[in-house]
Amino acid sequence: MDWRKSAQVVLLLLPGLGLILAMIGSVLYIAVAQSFGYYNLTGESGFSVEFWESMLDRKIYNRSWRYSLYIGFFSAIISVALAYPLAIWLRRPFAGSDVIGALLKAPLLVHGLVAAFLFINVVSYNGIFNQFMQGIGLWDGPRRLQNDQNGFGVLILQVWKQMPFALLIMIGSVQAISDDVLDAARDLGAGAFTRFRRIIAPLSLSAMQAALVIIFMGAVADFSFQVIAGPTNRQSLAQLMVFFKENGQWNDAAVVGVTLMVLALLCAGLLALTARIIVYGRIR
Amino acid sequence: MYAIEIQNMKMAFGRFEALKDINLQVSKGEFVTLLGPSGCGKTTLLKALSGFLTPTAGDIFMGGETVTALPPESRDTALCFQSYALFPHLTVKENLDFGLRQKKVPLAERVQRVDRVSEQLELGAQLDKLPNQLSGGQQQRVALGRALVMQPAVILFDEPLSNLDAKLRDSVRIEIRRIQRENNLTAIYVTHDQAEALSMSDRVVVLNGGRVEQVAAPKEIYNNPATSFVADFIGSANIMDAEVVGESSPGQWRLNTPLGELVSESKSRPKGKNIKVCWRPEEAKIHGTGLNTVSSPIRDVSFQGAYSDLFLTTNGCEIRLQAREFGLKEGDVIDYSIPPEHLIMLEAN
Ligand SMILES: Nc1ncnc2c1ncn2[C@@H]1O[C@H](COP(=O)(O)OP(=O)(O)O)[C@@H](O)[C@H]1O
Ligand SMILES: [Mg+2]
Repeated sequence: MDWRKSAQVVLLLLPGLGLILAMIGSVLYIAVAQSFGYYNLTGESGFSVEFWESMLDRKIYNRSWRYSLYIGFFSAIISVALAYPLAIWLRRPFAGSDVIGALLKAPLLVHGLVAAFLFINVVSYNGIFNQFMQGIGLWDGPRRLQNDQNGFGVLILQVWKQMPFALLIMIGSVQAISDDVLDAARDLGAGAFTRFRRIIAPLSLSAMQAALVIIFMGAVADFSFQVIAGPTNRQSLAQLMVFFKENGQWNDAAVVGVTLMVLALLCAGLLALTARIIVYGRIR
Repeated sequence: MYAIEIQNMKMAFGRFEALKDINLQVSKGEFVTLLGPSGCGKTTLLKALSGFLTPTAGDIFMGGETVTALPPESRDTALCFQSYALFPHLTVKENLDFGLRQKKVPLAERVQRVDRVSEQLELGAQLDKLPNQLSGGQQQRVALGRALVMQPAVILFDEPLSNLDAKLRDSVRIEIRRIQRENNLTAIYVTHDQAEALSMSDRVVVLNGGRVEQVAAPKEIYNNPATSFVADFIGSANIMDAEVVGESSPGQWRLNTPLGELVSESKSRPKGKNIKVCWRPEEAKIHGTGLNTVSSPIRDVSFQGAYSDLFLTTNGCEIRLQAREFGLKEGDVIDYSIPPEHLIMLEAN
């Protein structure tokens, strides 16, 4: 491309991309600047690392980022792990496969908050799940399931909401693998797992990476599921950020916000890379 | 003991019977072609042999043992796909090595076998390329190599040449046959191309509508077709109805045909009173005299280079002849004779 062409492309992109970059850029800039003491809305402004220093020592912060990574990581892995067999199962149409596909995608149409409320209703102390378990005689009395300490409630909600999305992203590339290629692998002695490991996974790697990254990014920054169904003794990063903001601690909120962005970006990249290394056995 | 034995095999898809009562024996080292029009069940039969389809009835034996219930990954067969079905994300070398890895062949032997096959198929320079960086012919050879490297008891080909251009087709055909002979492989080769079947095979199995029409060596198939389908499908043939009048002398059968009374020479008895007969256009003698001589005007002449096709209508019967004489033209009345040994009695009507 000569410089005229390049200039033309840049000019054409400018109205759209420029606006996006300007908005993202300014948000990033404000957040980073605030975390280093600038734009202080309550005290005096000026460069300072004290907010980072004090935050990195706080138990609530350290628990928070570990918890958010845990939710992000397991939401992404479990969603993809469930979506794969479904994508393979729905690879070729069969009687009823349309209906099954539509049912599986239904959560995409239900708002997460609605689902979260429904979920805590079901698992509440006097909810139908507890009643059911007692009814069939498995449990002696009701158990406390709501807002469990392990964040299983949040994980269940995340997977419920994100698995259909992973399926949507991955099914196309799984369907694109020809029957003959899979049959050839089978003919050469590859069993079901080897066919997945050596043919399906590598050939749908990009889609799998995309699903992992997008779900991870969303789940790591989860706020609404956490507020409704999450454990009460720890906070997600997003929750912590809002908590500081509500207290007027804007600089602390900014530190948490920047942490969230950096962690999400770094770990998503790491996740994608790890997926590639596991599938190919090398970086390439 | 046969390398492959198929006994009374049937294959149905729902109500539709794709294969009806197939019986076939193939000896070790034999090259057998399945020939038939599109949709006659060739691929279905191959898939049953490789294990992708389980027969509705009947049994398949390989090396004397039943394999009917074995899945493809446990069968000692290797299938060459029409679409090549190379693994697009693996290099040529990894493609060739794939099956050996699955079968847990020791590394040293794997390297040696891949080397040998890539040498045989002249793929040495392509080993580190991905399939999409290869030409069609090279991809075809990788597909072939991937099957050969397994040294399977039975190698199966599903129209392996149909995606190649005519020139390449000839050379790969010869190559496949050479490698098959060198390694003494038992091969089942599917094609709808009669020239391919006749030129390559030890024996040809002609399939039609899921049924075996004839199993025989190429020359026998051509010179002595068992049914009018075979006569018509392989080469061109004049096929007529005939009524058997009687045996004039041992092995000489008098027949009433639209061309008049003709004599057919055959050791076997006719299959009924009313039968079909056929003869090849090139077997008739133009300007012939004596037995089985017919006189008829030429309706059409079509120049073919080495010969001309003559089209005649005799008593409402469309006849085709081959003439090496080029002076003949439309409207000429010619005499031609059909040698009795070339007038072949087919199935009953
Ligand atoms: N899975 C299947 N389900 C239903 N019908 C099939 C299936 N596979 C093949 N057939 C039918 O069986 C017949 C033989 O098919 P095939 O063996 O592919 O023919 P070919 O001789 O062209 O290879 C065809 O009429 C085809 O439509
Ligand atoms: Mg076919």
